[in-house]
Amino acid sequence: MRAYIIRRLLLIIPTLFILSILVFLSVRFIPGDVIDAMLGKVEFQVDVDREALERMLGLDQPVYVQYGRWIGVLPTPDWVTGESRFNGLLQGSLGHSLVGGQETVEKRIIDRLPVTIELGLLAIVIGLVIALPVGIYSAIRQDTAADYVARSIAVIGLATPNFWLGIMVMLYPAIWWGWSPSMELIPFTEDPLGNLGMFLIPSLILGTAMAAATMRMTRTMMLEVLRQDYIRTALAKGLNERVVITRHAVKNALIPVVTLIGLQLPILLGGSVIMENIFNLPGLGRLLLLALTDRDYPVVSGVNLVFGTAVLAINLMIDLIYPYLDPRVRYS
Amino acid sequence: MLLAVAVACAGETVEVPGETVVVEKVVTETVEVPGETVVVEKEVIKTVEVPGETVTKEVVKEVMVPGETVVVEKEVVKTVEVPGETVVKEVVKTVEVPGETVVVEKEVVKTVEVPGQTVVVEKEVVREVPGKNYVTDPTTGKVVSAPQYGGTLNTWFVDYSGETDTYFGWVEARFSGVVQKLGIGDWGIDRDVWDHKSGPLPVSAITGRLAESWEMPDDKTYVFNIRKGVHWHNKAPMNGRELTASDVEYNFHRMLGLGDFTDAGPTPFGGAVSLTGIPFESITATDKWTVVMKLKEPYLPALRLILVDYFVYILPPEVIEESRTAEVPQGKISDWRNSVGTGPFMLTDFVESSSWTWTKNPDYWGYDEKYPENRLPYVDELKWLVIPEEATAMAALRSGKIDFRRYAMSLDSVLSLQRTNPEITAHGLYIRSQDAYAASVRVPPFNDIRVRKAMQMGLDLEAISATYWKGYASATPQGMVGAQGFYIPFDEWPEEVKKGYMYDPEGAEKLLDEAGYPRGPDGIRFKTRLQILQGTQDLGYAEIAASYWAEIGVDVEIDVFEDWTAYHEGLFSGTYEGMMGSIAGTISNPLQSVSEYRSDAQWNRPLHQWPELDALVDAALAATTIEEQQRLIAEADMYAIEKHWQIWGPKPPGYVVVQPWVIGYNGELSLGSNELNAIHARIWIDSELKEAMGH
Repeated sequence: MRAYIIRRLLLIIPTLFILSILVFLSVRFIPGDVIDAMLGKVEFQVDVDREALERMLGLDQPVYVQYGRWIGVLPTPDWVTGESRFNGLLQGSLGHSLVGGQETVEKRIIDRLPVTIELGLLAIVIGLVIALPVGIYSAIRQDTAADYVARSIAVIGLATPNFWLGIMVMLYPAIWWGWSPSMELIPFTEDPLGNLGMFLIPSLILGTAMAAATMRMTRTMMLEVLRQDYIRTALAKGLNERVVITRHAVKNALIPVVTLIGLQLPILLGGSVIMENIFNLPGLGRLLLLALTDRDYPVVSGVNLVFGTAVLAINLMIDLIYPYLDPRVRYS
Repeated sequence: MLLAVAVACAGETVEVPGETVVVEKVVTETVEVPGETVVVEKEVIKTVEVPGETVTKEVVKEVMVPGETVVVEKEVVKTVEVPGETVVKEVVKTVEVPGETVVVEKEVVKTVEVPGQTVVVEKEVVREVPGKNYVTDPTTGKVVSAPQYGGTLNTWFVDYSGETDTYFGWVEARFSGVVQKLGIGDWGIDRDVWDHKSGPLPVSAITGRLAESWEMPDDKTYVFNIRKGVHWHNKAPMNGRELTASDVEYNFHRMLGLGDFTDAGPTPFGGAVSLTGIPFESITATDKWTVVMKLKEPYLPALRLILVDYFVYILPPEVIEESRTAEVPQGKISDWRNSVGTGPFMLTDFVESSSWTWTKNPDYWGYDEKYPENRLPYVDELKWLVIPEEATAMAALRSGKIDFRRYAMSLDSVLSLQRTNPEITAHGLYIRSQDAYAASVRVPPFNDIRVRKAMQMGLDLEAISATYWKGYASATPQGMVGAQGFYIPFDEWPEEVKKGYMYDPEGAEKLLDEAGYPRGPDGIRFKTRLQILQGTQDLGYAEIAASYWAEIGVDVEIDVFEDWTAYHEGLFSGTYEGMMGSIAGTISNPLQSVSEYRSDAQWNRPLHQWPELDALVDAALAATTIEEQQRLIAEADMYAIEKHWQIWGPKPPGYVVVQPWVIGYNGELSLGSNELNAIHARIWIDSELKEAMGH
């Protein structure tokens, strides 16, 4: 097992290297740069020395030099002091934001991370709380009215885009009743209930979308397992149906479901970008959109790198969970 | 159930030949519901007409329900028509319910129509409840509910990352209420003299802030008398100490690399050239309350820039000193918690991408310029809610969670808001046209002025404005300059020049024939290219313009660029052909606008070589008085207009929307560069009205 983990971790290194190139280059293909974005936000037209600004932000250098500086194999000059030093990924730094007081990218990410984690966790909990019982019930009551209703709702859930639902929830209550959710972040430490209330609607929307797919997978896998000989044997022995379902069927049906949850996490992260924006939650998704608007290259690259690393880590974790769910799975 | 309806009508017309026509109509309706009530509705409609001038319609409705109340509704509609120019419609509604309150609602709809030019529609709804206190706004003459203290003003702002220290970049507007400059736009100025909707501020519309007054002993020396009794916020390390001339000297030295900051050098930020471009010789605090600034040579814009430029905030010296190190010799204010100032607000909370909160500075020294007996600010708390998503911002407005929103509101959003929430006021601000098209005059076909003129005459801008922008865009042509006082308004243009900017497809075709571009067998005279920048120019408008040009036989291919550098490559290298997107009628710095008219300017969009225009620009830049400079800039602008330097495109408005309970605001843009919170300090919340409206 330990050898397997070490091998997987070593494999992550080249993946991260390729990822770093992708996240670094992709943002630079977007038309316009940080100076255009800055000028667009200034109230009136102003005189600028564009070359000086580019020099100051290091944008006057070729892309490969900028990449070398970002990963820390080339020294980066400080635009105020002129002093150069190695300060990149290899030194544990994601660089400095090009705007916003030139804060470090790590600080900006860490500040936003709790919101995204809270939203993601709530969405997963809501998704699982809905999907697992409904999927199991739908399987053991196959082709009944309840099964049809559950499956229909799941299909609607799959077919409804998150962003549309989010905007509708924001739009119509405001027009009909003059109501809208809180527009300010309520910290959990100050008002736990207010905080949960603020996160409830976006995590419900994210969670239900996730629940739809998970519920269908749970139902399918449960039907598969319920047809197995050992389940029939258990029932024939006179074991209580509840015991058979919970002890013997569900655990075995969950392996593909856990895989699916792992695959859904990147979708969940994408969804959180939209939900954070619609529901005004200052998380990583909002930071990514803001940085894209500002063409703040280090922040965009940094957030994407964090998202990519999170997906790699979660997939590794899920692979490591398999042996606990199914003792037949062995890593060597 | 309704059993019987009796209707009686009577009408009377009184005519005074040549003068007034009075039409009276009385309609009385009696509705009887046996066994229930008898309702009598009486409606008197009175119309007074003075032919060609005034129409007044008065409708009085009385509803009597025996044994109950009598409700009298009176609606007076007054319409003033000056043919071809102005239509003012005033609706006054009075509802009287005996024993209760009297509510008077006055709605004034003003439409100004000048054929071939602009349509401006202003709508103002005033709600007066007798018993409340009202005051007259001395700058507009409007009656508004009296100033009151307290409450929270919630404003909207886009997610925005900016600097916290002017030395390093554009300081975010959010610091404007905390730190202050030597001068500020005069809030108390008559809005007919200066409406604060145009920029840049003329010195005549600037009043002293940290500087109480200033003198110019000669054209190279400025003496600023620093205001006594101004204290820094009572917060470490400033601890409420009094502001002195040394603080002002310190900040200017730091920005410009003078005095103690000689080694550190001036701000390296390339956006600060407006300040660093002033030819300073020395800046000295000669005593505790006097700062003397000497220039190497006279520089006309210097005073305005020193007073209200982006980069002249007076920051707390002690905070900067604490952050100075060998590596950062100029120091850096990098934490919002260190934003100590002398302004009306103190920044007390910040949640990135969520909200900024300021609380009232209880020791603020300033008074309202409109109501000098009132100390500022009015609100106890000011919040900026950061809401980038449009649907969310609209929901926040509809639900009353935002009181005040400026920037980034599309016309469609405003119209949608007015449909669902007509009580919210939208103020239109006309900043510039981004849909003008410069034509490359160095090569055919646009090297011929007749062709450029024909392209302008081929566009029905009135119709496009009325349809594409639903009548809200200004189609009145302008040159590059739109700053108040620096350009000649369209009304005053010579008739011959005006004709070249009016829709005349036949005239356009004739000009193209004369220029040697007859229609070919396929009906096309010539093909050309229009390059526009995505996100700056409006593609929809470009396509409409191209369809108009097709009507006069010009085939225009639209090339949309996404990349700023690639888009400008042809301009900067002087090689582009055809047309490219430009700006016009901009209210920003007229000196910069007129500088772009020079043939050697980087932004010489038509790539012209007109020595006469260069000479006019040089003369304008060398002017020694503001009046002379205004006249010379207007002349240079007129020269370019006559040359059809570019094809004018309509100027759609940007919007500021405010809830009805936000009082004291009249659509002002700013009180100097980046002075948003200075406005927020001067407006107040009518809490009674807000509560009455369910918020």
